[in-house]
Amino acid sequence: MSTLSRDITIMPHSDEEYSLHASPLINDIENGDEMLDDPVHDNRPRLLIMGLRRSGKSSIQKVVFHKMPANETLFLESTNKVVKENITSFIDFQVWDFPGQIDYFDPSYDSNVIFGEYGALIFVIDAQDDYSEALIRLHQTVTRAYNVNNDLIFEVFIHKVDALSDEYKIDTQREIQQRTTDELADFGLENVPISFYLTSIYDHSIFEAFSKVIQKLIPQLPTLENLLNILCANSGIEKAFLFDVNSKIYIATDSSPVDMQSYEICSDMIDVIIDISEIYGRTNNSYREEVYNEDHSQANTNGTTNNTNGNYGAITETANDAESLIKLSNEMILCLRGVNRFLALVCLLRSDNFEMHGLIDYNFQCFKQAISDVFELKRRGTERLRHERMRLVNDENVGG
Amino acid sequence: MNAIVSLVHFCEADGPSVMFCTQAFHENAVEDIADCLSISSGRHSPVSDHIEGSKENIPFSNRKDPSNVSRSVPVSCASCSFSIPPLDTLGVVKIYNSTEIKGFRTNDDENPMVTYVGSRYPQHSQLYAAVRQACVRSLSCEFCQGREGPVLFGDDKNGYVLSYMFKIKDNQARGFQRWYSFIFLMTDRVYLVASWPFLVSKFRILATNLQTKANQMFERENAAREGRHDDAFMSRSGPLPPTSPDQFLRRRANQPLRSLVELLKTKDLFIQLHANFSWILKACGKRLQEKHVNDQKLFPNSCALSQKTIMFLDPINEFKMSRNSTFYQNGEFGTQIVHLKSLYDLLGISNFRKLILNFVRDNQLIIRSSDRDITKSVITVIKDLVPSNCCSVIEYENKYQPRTKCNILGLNATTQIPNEVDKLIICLLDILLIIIIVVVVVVVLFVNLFLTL
Repeated sequence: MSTLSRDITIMPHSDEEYSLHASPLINDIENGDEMLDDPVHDNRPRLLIMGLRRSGKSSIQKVVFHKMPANETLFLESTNKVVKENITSFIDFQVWDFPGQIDYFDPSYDSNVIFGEYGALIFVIDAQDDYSEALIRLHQTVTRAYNVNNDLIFEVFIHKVDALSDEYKIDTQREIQQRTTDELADFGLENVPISFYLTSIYDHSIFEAFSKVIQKLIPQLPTLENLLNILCANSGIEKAFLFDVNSKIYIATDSSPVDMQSYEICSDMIDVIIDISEIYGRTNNSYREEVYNEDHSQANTNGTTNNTNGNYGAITETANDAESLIKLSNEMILCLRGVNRFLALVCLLRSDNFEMHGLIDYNFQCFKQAISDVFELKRRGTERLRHERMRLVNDENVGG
Repeated sequence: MNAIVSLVHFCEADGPSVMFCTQAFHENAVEDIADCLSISSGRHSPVSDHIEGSKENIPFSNRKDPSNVSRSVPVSCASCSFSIPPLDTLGVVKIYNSTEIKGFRTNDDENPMVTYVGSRYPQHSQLYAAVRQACVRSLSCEFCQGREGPVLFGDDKNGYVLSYMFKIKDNQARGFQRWYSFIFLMTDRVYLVASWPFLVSKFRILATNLQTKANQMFERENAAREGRHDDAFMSRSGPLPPTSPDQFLRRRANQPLRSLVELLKTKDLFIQLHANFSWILKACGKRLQEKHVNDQKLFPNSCALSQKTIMFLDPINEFKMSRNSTFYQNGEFGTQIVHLKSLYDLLGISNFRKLILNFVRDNQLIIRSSDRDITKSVITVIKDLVPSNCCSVIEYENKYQPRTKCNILGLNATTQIPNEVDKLIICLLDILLIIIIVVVVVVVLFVNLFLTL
């Protein structure tokens, strides 16, 4: 049965290939060198999306990571294989989308390969359907996966809630939460932390839920939050989000409570910036372009800010020095600054506080520097590790 | 050849599932198939010349063997079950309750020992596990370039599998398509690889056939649906765009999809499949014949020792005793050459090469010797080099025979070769026997190597 489990790996590295090499040390290194291509021997965190069939797993994955419009997901065919995807961003992680029909706890699959790594398990429940079957599967999944790897983070997405009324949403969440914790308590797993989210691909809830999940996988999160707090306090910023530009997931925010509307408008701003930069952007880094009176129709989601007075900004193709400002009709200012290739800071502040934008610019430069220091540390760590391994290989080669 | 052909499907509800499989049974395994329905010979199938249903109807029972009960067979839904058209259309004498039908049985009229049985699952529980495993692997693990096409995988434990994946269009399915695969499972990997071109071409024909039918249905249904939509949404003004399949998707969410028979509107689909599978099994078995090659004949690696080993008095070649021990005396008179190798040793490389070269080029080979047995043995050894149809032998003759009659000719030592014979096209091997024991071989080659051009 080991063959099946190995086939889950799909990648060309099979045991036979390794056994061709004489020295186990060299094998290890080669494995390390090809780490980027090999999702199994890779140590990047994993997001495992599981759930019953038709609960919307592939749709979530497509909408969040492929920018597929939500109503096109209806035409997705059913997933018949584990779809693995490497997401390269500020942190690298991989998303595994499982077919709902197959029980991956079957002994023919190697649970250790699937669940053994550090990561999060997202269980998707279709809230529009009868979810009793899904709950049974959820209990099975959590208990078994917990036995394999008790570092796994469990998340439950109560999905497709767009069609439900607000009260019904709350009721559903409460019931699912209640039944799950009861059931797990019966198995003696009351201390397994499970978070529940109400999600839908037709609004921003799925991005928000994903943000929370990803945030748990970022070891630097407290540092980032701290930096954002300092920035907000010193620059008069009401709310600041650090966004991953490609997926519109926010990886950190300051400690003030997140309200959905400000999150939505900030996330929409990224869309606006990307769209405009696609039209007007130049590949030339030094080129600055002022865009006036751009109609900001995307802000409609927020009732108070639907009339923009006009915005202006400067966008360049590479996001790391992009900056943009949008003045909203309620005396607020939306401000976007590119941090690096993947990240952008979006913040909301009162226009009074924007008077001293020299200070804000300066603070922002400090913030940017701090962020790059944080990630530089990690990069250097990995590099050092790699160098050490390389040296070991060289020594080995010389010795042999 | 022992193999099983099967159609598997990635079912929307149950995941990968086995739909139908056909396997060949030999006489001694007949009791396993008593449960199966036998079809009378009236069916017209694409390969009906190869299969013919048995004349007698075997009454079948719903007998269950223990392995069947313990096996956890998923409750089948319509989309992954196989079905048989109403029996009266098949010309079966008795009409049975259709729920009891487990499969087809086809007798091979060329070889009465063999029976082809088609059923949903293989009867043997170990085989079931192997087929099931192959099914899951082929549909939800293996990747094929372009997603449709053949892939080969397997191991010694569960056998080797050639899987031909293909998709079929379905208006009601998610993404408008459904995944199927033909799998060919056998234990012999080498044989399977050797049969690859044959199997792939046959599976491709079958798959294309199904796809064409499905495409036609798909087009027709699409056209019908377009028409309906125009009417239905003319009067209705809703938030949903009229082209959204959302409505019917949600409604159908927990309904199984149509069965393949219904989808393709082919009532006898599984009968055709069974016929095709049986033919593939049979033809694939006939295509390559496994034959144990007695390689000692060509490359002796152990010495065949006889009681008396012959001493060689060969002035030209220095032979070692042991190497030539294969050239031995058989009984009283029968000095023979039993290996090509000993001939090689006797002649030396250049002469041997000339001999072989001329022979395979279809020049006439004349072996002249006073001993009939030696001539015979040399001919036997040499004629194996070419296909049997390419060689005509006259074993021992007193008169020269022209090349048109034979290309290997054994001649009496005293026979003269007529002068008018073209010396360019013959190769003469003179074997001079000194008494019985000592043999000196001299090769006279009337060979002009310009012939090579």
